[in-house]
Amino acid sequence: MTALAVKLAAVGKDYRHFHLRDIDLELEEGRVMGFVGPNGAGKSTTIRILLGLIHQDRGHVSVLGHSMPRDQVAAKWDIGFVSEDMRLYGQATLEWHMKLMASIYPKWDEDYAAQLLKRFELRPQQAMRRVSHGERTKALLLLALARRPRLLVLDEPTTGLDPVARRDVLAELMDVILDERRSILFSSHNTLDVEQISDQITFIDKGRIIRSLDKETFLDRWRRLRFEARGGFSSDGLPGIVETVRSGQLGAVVTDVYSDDVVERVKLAGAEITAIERMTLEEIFVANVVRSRKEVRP
Amino acid sequence: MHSELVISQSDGRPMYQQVMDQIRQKIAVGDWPGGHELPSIRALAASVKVSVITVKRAYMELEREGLIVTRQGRGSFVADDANIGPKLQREELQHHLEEAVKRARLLGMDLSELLDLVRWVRAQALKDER
Amino acid sequence: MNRSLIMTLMRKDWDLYKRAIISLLVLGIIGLGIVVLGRTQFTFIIGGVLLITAIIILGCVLVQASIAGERKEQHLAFVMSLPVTAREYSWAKIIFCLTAYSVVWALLVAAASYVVLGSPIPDGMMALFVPMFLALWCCMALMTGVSIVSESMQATVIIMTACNIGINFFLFSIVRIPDIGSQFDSPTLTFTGPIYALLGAELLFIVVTIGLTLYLQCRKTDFI
Repeated sequence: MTALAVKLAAVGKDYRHFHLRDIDLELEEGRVMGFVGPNGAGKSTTIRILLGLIHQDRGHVSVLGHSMPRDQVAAKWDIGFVSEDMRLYGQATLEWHMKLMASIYPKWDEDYAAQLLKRFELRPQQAMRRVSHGERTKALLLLALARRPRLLVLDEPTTGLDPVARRDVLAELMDVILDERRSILFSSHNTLDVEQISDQITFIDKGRIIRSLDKETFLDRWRRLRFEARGGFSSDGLPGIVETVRSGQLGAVVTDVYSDDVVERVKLAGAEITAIERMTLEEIFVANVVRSRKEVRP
Repeated sequence: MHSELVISQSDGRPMYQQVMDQIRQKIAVGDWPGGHELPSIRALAASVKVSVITVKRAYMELEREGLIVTRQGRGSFVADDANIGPKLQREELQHHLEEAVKRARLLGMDLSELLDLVRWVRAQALKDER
Repeated sequence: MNRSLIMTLMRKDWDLYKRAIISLLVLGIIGLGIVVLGRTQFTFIIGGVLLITAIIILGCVLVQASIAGERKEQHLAFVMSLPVTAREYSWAKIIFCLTAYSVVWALLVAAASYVVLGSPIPDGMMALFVPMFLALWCCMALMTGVSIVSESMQATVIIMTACNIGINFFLFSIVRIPDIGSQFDSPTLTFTGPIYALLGAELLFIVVTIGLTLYLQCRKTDFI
């Protein structure tokens, strides 16, 4: 049983217009978790609770073995946090920030920092108020990566980045994974990125975790079955069908428990399967959200 | 070395299958001969920029097919079967032929018509080579 | 509490705001110089105004830039990602702001004391000046506290305005206190009971303000 880098158990937080409820989340050491959800779903709140910046109202939070928020300082020594709404000091240079980090963190790796400067094409002498969005994100990432944290927590790390910058960032993140004791948790709207590098994916919507599974299982279980209806085909009551779309005789059903049984049942119900398609993470995510919202408000 | 493996997200096939196919290719053409040590799962994941779990699955499936062997604590190796390259290529050819036979039947061709077509195609190919 | 990290945070703030602080210090020294070197009532007023302006602006800049600005400019997430607690952060801010302020403030006190005690101006004026200086310090403590606790640029600006207006009212009020007003022409300085009471109240105000600030900060559950 691998150690857990992050464990949230029954975590809840109440605000006037928003409630985080029953958040259960586990990230094993050495793995990458993608955290996906619409705006306002509670991703940033969950992440800040994880870092001890917000105190949960209910539940237990443990990060790298430390209880949060009580032991947040001990945890923060080993956590690198980059958030999309974080800003460095505009009047100072990247070099100044690097010196600041080096003075605080004993694990600061000067050589690695120099490498990252080159790879990210950043100029250390530039004042931070004059850099572009992409350069700022890369600078923040450099400051977090060069101290080799055991846990990287990233809130929208690739949002607003051009494709080249995105590729550079993903490449660096994957290098972190070379060390099996280091883990990454990142939230993103960019389901392509999540699909590519995540080992585990967690969907969140309206303050609740909808699903948390390893990626391959997600991608294996979900399918779109295109059909041509024969006679009185109806998908009502068919178990395992999440969604049905239909226009005349043609349509498609979406299932989240794909197996030969499901295919058989659809056929028996009176449809000829014309294609079985895998679904992208984006499609799976949307289907999940739609279903969970229907369950809450039937 | 292993940055020659490229994963495309616009490719319809699942990522683990792309990894498997490219490893199979490397074995088939002899780049990775029998006994060659495969990169560690993490190293390959990092260089290809895909999740560890995807590479792990690819390795597992390849092991199930008998193409690679994983020795506990020592890594994964290409199976020692000396013939593996040619064997893979032959399997690949067989897949293509199965496809061709299927289509021929759909078109209503019989065996002799199919063989005629094969001869014609081969003649064209030899002509192009000169 | 991690002293070395608190020192690092204060050093960071010094790095960021030293240009502003030093400029205002220089302005204050110029004012002091004018007061000391010029010997007319005119230069006394010019130098005095310069000195007081420097100290007031310094207070506002320190609070607005290093406290309210840090949140508004979204630096807080970056700072709190460092291994510090909310309490250590608050301490570092309070110590930094009040220390930087005190340096220039001490200059003012030195200037006024020199002028009053070492010149033909009646020493009794000190009965007015000493409570005034302490009042300026009270304002700084209040501005710092409100800004840290409120986390809002709006509240900071409001409290700064209130203090600037309030300090004038304070001046007009304490002049009415007989023990103070009567000493304007007195060549000797006497601190009486009521004056000590006033000074005591101001010191208490400072202690309570800082204490309340720290207490409220530590009770916060949502730091960002």
